[in-house]
Formats: sequence, structure tokens, C-alpha cells
Amino acid sequence: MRKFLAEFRAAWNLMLEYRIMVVIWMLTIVLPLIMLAAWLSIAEKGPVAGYSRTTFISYYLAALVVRNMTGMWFIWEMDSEMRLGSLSFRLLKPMDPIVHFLAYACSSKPFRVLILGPASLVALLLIPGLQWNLEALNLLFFVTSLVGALMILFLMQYTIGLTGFWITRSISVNDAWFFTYSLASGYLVPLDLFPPMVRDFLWFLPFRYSMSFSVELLMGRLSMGAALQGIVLQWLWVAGLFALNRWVWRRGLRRYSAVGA
Amino acid sequence: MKVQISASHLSKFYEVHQKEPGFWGSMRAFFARKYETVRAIEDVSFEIREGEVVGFLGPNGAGKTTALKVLSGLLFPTSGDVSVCGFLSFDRKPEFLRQITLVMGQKNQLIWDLPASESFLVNRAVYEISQGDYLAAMKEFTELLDLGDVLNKQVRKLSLGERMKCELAAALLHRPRVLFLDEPTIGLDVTMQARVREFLIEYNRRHGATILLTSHYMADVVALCKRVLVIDHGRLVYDGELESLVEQISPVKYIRLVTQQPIVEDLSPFGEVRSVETFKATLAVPRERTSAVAAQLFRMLSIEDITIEDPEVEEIIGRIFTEKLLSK
Repeated sequence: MRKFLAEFRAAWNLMLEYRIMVVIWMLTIVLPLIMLAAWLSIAEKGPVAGYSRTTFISYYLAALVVRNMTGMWFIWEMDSEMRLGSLSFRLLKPMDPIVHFLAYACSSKPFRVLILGPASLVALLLIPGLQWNLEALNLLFFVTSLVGALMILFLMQYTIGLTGFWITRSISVNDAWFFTYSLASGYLVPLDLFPPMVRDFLWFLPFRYSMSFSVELLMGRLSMGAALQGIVLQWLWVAGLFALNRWVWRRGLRRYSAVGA
Repeated sequence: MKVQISASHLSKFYEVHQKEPGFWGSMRAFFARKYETVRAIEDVSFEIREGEVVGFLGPNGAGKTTALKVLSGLLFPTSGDVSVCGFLSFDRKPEFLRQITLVMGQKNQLIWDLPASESFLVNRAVYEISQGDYLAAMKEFTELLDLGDVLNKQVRKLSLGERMKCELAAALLHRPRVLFLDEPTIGLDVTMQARVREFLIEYNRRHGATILLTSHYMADVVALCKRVLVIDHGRLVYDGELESLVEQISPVKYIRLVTQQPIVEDLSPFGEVRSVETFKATLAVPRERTSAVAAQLFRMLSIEDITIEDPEVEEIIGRIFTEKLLSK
């Protein structure tokens, strides 16, 4: 934990060096707003599958918050470290590199809270009837789900990054992954709008728990039972992905040390 | 003194794929890659005792860096055993990693966009260095390497020399007992090279650390290492004192003399005449005859000054590799 905090401190300082860049990055998460504009025009004539215009607004603003709080891009750094060989130095330190990358993945999050918090309050004031459930207990569930979503995305991206042990550019795998994530997580289209069979299938995959689940919680669309069940399933995915990650890590290391670090 | 580094019948082979240059070469490589086995090191054995400073010599691509990577635990050997500080390097146990360090002169370990002091703080936590040890180490390095205000400048704004000083300090913060240094002075100017050398000598003296280093600068090797390992095409061709290597490779010494009167005598009976001017001459004389020849010259000429020198180590090492003097 002390090692994580030291890494986090350095990553945070690094982020502050580039605070303008973080703001620009935050502003470039516009996909939900584009989707929102599209659905608003479609829903002009009446609700779509139970989603009114206000529901769409609530959904995509929540998606924007969740994406900001869980999105991460450390795979670029990982990719270059593996290609240029500086990962070797991390392997010679008495700390698993996963701690370093997790710290970097989290480093901009406190900064984003500082901006998103006030921004959300403004949204609540400006948009009447925003369907966000802000009761304390619900918010607690929401925050817990954000941590879980972050861990799922981190472990997915880290595992994809580890494919760099076998292929030269793991970034290409990540691009393919992002396409799947956008569709299957509810980031582009609410899962409710898929045919029931597809929706029920997506319900069990980890993607829902990296986006849609948190959005549903913030919007207060889940019963207490469904929320608890979701949290359990989410953390089961975290555990499963962690196990997968460690397995890939061990095999990758064996290869790395065999063919040249 | 106990053995700190031991390699026995160590080999490391790996495959690299070949690509012909140009677009069609790339296309061909994309569909059918040709692999070639590189024998980076082959059947290498040696032992290094605690506190020794050993130079690892060889031309580019001889296998020096590969050997350092195997010894530090980054690469798994194809065959043979390697043990450092009593550990199998490749296990990379935390207790082992806390006792070693690897510095590569051509690579950067510091956080590029932050001052070096930030990297030090991270290392302090990663190596679990106590506050007292950390302050003591910082004090020592600030003094020996003259770090001062360099610590608070962004790493990317440092000169190469300043950065190398910080690299060394960061890599030695946990006071490792075994140092693997790959070209630690590469690209540095002469003064800075000397500075780094003095620092390494001092670190070795104070902490009894074992050092294995590669360098292309002979001055590094001469100043730091009594013993050298010479590697060529992956094979160890010499292991022993630098001095005896010089004797073995170069059977001659140079006698340089300055006279009071112009030299008119024929010097060739004394040895091979390398150069002769009015008042100066250089002779290459077989090693065992140098003192006798010098005495004769004294009697014959009005000598003002005379020196007996070994050839430059650079010259000797160069000859080893171009003339394959040590190859079996």
C-alpha cells in the first residue's frame, strides 16, 4: 500500500504537470453527448422503449460521469515500455509492475471528481426532472460500483497490454476491444434498447459492470436486491479477471525472459 | 571473501527474425519469417568475489549485455547455472532484487517529466528504505556526485552528465551489494567520466560492493578493474588480471628516450625502431629485455630522459579482437 501511494503521488504530480491536457481529455469524451443528440431527435415524437427525452438526458450525462471516472489510457505507456525495453527495469524492482500501472490509471481521478462534482450540481440545477437518485445509500452503491467498474476496465486493459509479450503492438488489440466495450457496456446505446435476448446475454458479461450498471444505479433504476446482486456479480468479474491477468502475466514473463528482455 | 557472482557453463541462445530491407522485404517477412538462432553467450563460467570490481570487455554484439541481463535475472539462461548473492537470479525474489542493481548508460529509469527527486521517493517506497537510511544515502550521494540543485530540475531538462549522476544515485539508493553496470559512462565528457569513475571507486570502498561493468572506454577499465573478463562471439576468451592480459598479448614494451646530443647511432640492434628524430627515439623491445636494453642505451648515449611504457590498453584490446589472439 505504501508502494502504491508513492507511485500514486508521482503519477499525480505528473498529471499536475499536464493539467491542461487532462481538461482537454475530459472535454474529448463527447461520444455520450453525440449519442444523446441523436436519441433526443428520435424521441421527439414520444418515448423509445420507455425512454423519454429526460431519461435519455439523465442516461447519457450519467454515462459521461461514469466514463470520466473509469476510463483509462495507460496501455499507451505500457505498449511503449514493452517495446522500448524499459519494462525490464520494473522487473528488477521488488514491486509488481501492476502496482505502478494501477497508480497511473487512477492518478487523474481525484482531479476529475473536483471538476465533475460542481459540474453535476450545475446540471441538476439547470435540467429539471433529471432522473438521478442522490440518496446517501444509493450514492454509496454508486461509488462502490465505480470502483468495481474501474477495476474491471483496469484488469481488461492490463491483460490486453500483456499481449505485448507476444505481439509487437498491443494497441491494435485495444482498439478492437474498445469497439466491443462501446457496444456491450451500454456506453453508446442503453442496454434496455437491445432485443431482450441480447440484453439478457449482455447482462452476464463483464462489460455491463464496467458502465451500464453504474449508470443504472445513479439513475435509481435498480431495486435494492438488483443492486446487491449486481455488486456481487461485478466483484466476481473483478476476481475472475484478476485470475486471468495473473495467468497471462506469468506466461508472458516466461516468454519475455526466454526471447530477450 | 565469499563468492558473490557465479556462472557455470552459462549459455543463452535466442531466435530473431530476419527482415530484408524495403517494402517487399517487409511483405515477405510478414508472411514467412526467417528465424535465426543467435548464440549470445555460450558455455561461460566464472566467479566473482565480494568487493571485486571486474571489467567485462568485448566488441559490440559480443554478448556482454545479454550476460548482464542473465546475471541480473531478466533473462532465463538456455543452459547452465547462475547464482548471485546466493540466489538464483531468475527467481527474482524480492530479497535478491534488494541487493542488486542494473544501470544501463543508454537507457533511462527516471521519470522523464518530473524532477529526479520524485523518482527517488518512489524508489524509497519500492525498496522499503527507512527514513534514516534514505537521508544518509541522499547525503552521501549529494556529496559524492555533487547533486545539489540538479535534483529539483525536470529530468528531461538535465544534461546527459547530470542525468547520469541522478540515474546512478537512484539505482544505488537501496545500497545494493552487487552492481551491474552497462556502459555507465557512455556519451559523457572526460571530466564527467572521471567523476563517475571516482564515485564508483568510492562506493566500492565504502560499502564493499561487487561491481561488474562493461565499457568501451579503456580509461574506465584501467581505473576501476584489476581483473577483466574478455568475451568474443559469446565465448569467454580471457579471465584474469588486466596486467597479465597486457603481458600476454603484447610481448613488447616501449622505450622512449630523449638525448642531449643528436642521435647518429644505429639503434636497430636494440629492438624495433618505431620512430627516430634528432633528439628523440622510440623502440619496441621484448618485455624481458627492457631493463638490460635501457642500461645499454644509457651507456651508449647521452640520455636526458628515458621512459619504459606498456602499450595503450586500447591498442591491446583492439588487437585481441582484430587478430583473434585469444580465440581458441
